Amino acid sequence: MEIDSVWGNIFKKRLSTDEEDIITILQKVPIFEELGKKDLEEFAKIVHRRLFKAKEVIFWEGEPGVGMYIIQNGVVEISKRREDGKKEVLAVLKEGDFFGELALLDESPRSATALALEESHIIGLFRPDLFDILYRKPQLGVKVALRLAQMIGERLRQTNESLQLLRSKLEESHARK
Amino acid sequence: MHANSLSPPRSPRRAFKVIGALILLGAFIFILPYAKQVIILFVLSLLLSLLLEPVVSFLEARGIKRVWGIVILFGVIVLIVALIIAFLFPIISRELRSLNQTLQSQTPDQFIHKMETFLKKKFPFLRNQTLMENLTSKAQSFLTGMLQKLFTLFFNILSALTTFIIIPFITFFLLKDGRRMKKAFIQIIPNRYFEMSLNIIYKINQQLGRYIRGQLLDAMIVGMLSIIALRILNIPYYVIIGSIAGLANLIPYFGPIVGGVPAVIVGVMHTGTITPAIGVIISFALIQLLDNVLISPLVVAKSVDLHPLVVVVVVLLGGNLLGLLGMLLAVPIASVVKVTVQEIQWGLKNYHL
Repeated sequence: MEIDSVWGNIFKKRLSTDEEDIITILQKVPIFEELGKKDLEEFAKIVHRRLFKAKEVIFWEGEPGVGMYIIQNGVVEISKRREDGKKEVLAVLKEGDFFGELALLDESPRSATALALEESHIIGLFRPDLFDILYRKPQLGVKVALRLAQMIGERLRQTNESLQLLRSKLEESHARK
Repeated sequence: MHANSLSPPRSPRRAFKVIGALILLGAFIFILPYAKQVIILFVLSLLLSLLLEPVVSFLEARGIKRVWGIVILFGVIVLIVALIIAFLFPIISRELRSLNQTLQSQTPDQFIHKMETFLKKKFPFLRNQTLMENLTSKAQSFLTGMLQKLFTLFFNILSALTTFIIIPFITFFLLKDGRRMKKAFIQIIPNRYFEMSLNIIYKINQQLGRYIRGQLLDAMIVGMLSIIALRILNIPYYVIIGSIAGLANLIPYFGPIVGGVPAVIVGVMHTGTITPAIGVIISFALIQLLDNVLISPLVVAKSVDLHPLVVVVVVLLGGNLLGLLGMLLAVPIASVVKVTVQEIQWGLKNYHL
């Protein structure tokens, strides 16, 4: 299946399926991949662990975003509402995947809805906490912010490629007419 | 219509939770009047911790572990306070003692009498005896009562030894574990309101912090200017009265007036003429002007604009509830309430609940 470059986890790594504690999960997330144990402990202190029941909405499309979520276990569906009102599923994310990281930068409305398909433990890293870390422990904060920027850049690159592909396909079909 | 998530089956467990929360809330409200002293201490510690928080965070950013940062900060504060006490205590206690004596002696009556003769000379139509008698007796009791209340209140708040121990104690732990406490509190919030509550809590924190730090800096500057002004005018007890004026500046609208009155009274009583009063009024008015035009905008990030009428009402309410302390706390508490309400409204509009 074609992976949506904005929502899909294009950075996926192989994961073990045992019960993991927060630090182990954080380690698997690319944003934190260059951090040592102590730094990860720092983040483990500021992230929030939430339990979502099956079919519970994590956030709705259009809501102001507060931060990113990492799936510790469970399944989350990312979907968008099309103009005709039907729901379009953009990605289905599993353990170790993350989503919503753009909200770490500003309050812009969420571009899709995140729904827990089954009971899921989700770890949340929120913007105010990240900014607080940037202020209190700037060296650590910058490492993470830089990594975040790189990831968003990578997503942008892939989106660009997809757009180019789409454009050329469109031109092709126009030319054929 | 958005797709609705299946609502969870209403189990008895949920009912218990709600009832439990309501009982806790009821018990809290019930205890409230008795716990007034404790709450005041806690609120003061909270304000102090908000004031000191940036310093601790600054130290933490430089690599000093949070606990040690707080210890160092407290150490520095204790040192500064000790120095101040060592230098100023003899002066202040001397001034206070003689001031208190002056109050208890005949002087208020003499002052009233002087005012009376002065007014009678300037405004002949006031020769009407009964009117003057009424006025003087009323003014007399008001003045003596207020001044004495001011000083006893001052001592009541400050001289309680327990206050000096408990407030730093609470502040220490608020500074050290405040973040953890906040996180624990957030854990309790149900998922539906989670993101919205997060937003609200952080905005309130920011707001309060900025307001308090700004206000205190502003009060300090006004206090220093007042002390200098009073010294120049040769008003006795200028340190105390200047400090009172600075602190009184924390109360909007009433503050500067309340701060100016002791200065006027003391000045007039000391010299027996009206002239110091004029000097005090002019200099204080100048300081107020400077404050409003230059200092406040620069120093106080008043991002919470409450309507002036609201401020007046709230400060009066605070005064009725908790006296002087209530007037001081009225505006910050009101601004927190305002921010909370604003954010909840915003949240309700933007979040699907």
